[in-house]
Amino acid sequence: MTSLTLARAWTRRGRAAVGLVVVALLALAALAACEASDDGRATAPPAGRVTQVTQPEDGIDQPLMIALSQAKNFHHKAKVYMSDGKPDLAIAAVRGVLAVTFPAGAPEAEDVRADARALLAKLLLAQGQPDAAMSEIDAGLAAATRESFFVANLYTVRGEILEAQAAKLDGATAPDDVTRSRELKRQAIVAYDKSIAINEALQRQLMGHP
Amino acid sequence: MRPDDPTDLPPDDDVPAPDAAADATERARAKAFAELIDKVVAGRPPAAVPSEQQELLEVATALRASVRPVELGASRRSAIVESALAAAIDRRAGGHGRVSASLPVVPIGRAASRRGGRTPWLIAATTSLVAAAALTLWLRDRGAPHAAPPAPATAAAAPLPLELRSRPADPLVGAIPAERAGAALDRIDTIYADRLDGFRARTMSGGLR
Amino acid sequence: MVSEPASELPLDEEARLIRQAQGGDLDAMRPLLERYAPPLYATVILPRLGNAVSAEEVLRDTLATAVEKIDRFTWQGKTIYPWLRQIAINKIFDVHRSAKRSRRLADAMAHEVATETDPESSADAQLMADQERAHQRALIESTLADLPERYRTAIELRLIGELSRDECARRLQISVGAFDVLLHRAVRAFRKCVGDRDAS
Repeated sequence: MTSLTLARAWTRRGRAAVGLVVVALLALAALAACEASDDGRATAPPAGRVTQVTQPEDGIDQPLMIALSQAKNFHHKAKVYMSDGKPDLAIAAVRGVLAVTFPAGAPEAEDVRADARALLAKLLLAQGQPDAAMSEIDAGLAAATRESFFVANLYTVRGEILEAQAAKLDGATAPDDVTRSRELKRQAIVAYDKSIAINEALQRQLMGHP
Repeated sequence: MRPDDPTDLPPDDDVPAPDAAADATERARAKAFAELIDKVVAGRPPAAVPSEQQELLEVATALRASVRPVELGASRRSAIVESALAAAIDRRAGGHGRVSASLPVVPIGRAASRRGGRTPWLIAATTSLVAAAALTLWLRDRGAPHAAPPAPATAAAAPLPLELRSRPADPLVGAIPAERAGAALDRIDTIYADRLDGFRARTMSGGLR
Repeated sequence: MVSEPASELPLDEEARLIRQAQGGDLDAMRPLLERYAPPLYATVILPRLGNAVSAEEVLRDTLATAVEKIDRFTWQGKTIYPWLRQIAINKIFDVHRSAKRSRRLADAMAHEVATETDPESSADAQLMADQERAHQRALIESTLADLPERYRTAIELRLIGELSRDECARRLQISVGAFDVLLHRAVRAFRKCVGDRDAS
């Protein structure tokens, strides 16, 4: 738009310049439209790989900032609802984070969504809905394309859900309940161990260890 | 806030007694911290520190710096002075003068700062050349496997510095302790603030496409 | 001690260089920057940031700002060092603020060091740096004195004495893992103590 504004200030030459710029912009727009359906971002690495830096052209741009701003606002909204004693509305607000449209392939999208799912799971667990909480964790883990601190956090919350479910069976005497309690605790430990392993691997990588 | 509100921050510095038993999380965190201290004591401060350990590491480093001799080597001193002078002179001349300890001094805005004052014909001609090249490539490659678009002629040759790129938030956020598992609000605030700095820097340098 | 400064600068020489820089020759600042970079780094910036990489960046930024804004400095017959120091302190607070981290350490360490020295003396900067270091040392030592003994010992052995983790564990007759936990808690307790003191 800057070139268009400057061109208009030079009336005699401006018209021809404007025409040339319009053609150029139309061409660029056509190109952009064709590319819009493609994921212009770096291909996500296979699951299990630690932090992957994007390609040089993936700069922080307005669409990303808008998405982050929206996610931020939903989280703040959720906090207000929580402090106001309205957990259902808080849960709805956090779900709003999951509905925010991020630029295709932006690594921040995966991180923000995973974080929102972890919070959502905790809120649902606090409302006595462990199955719904676990569904959120499972969805977050299924969507992960790389191991991250956020994925480790999902495993931590998974462990908390399992631990909470096991705690409900504490003191049970029926053999099935005792078995189930034991199994839930075992799964909780597996989840916590997975969280620790991801954290340690990432920290080693960030600190330059192999 | 209710006591079990997952969005509550945990009590800051609720330090257990010296002989209190430590759980697995605390042991892991303590071991990670000890390894960071190993590097600091060895004179190799870590380049990347998980954010939850950062303040603690700074306290330890500051404590050491206050009671032990600290040297800024002569060559390091001269390099910093040189870099500071260059940045100041560049800023005075209307440049951006951004200098980083870890990146070479190749301001990405240099191309942008020279753009001012060009005629509209030059701008139009350049834009048209770019568009024509892109159009040609598109027509030629239509139907072929996806190829990366050509870099605009006016963009800086050097790739974007890391802090101006969309990237994973792990180094910024660090390992998330169990008691902060639900503190997504704090983390989105941190991520947003960090990316906003990058966005502003790109905007000011004219690097946005 | 801090490494020797590039060269001592008599006050009149300092004044001349500043006038030259204010006249447009910014490179005239070079000897001043070389002279004052080490004490700024060692006694002002690093103890407040605790991070060598950040400290170098803040030092560079401080010096660049001082050169860029040298026109705003008014010579008052004393060294430029206090002015440089104040720029550095402001930048340190910016770092803490932008990182949204606790400013307890920066606040606690930011007490102004008043100096009453002979304005003709070129040792102002060195005296300020020495007083700054002495003040920080006193703060550290009095904070350590308030800690439980095992925490104090862990910090003294590892962070000040620089004994290895194995040696520290051996002296305290605990495992290395237990020492790691002890040191981690000790630094947390130290941080809390510094913050509590500043708050009070």
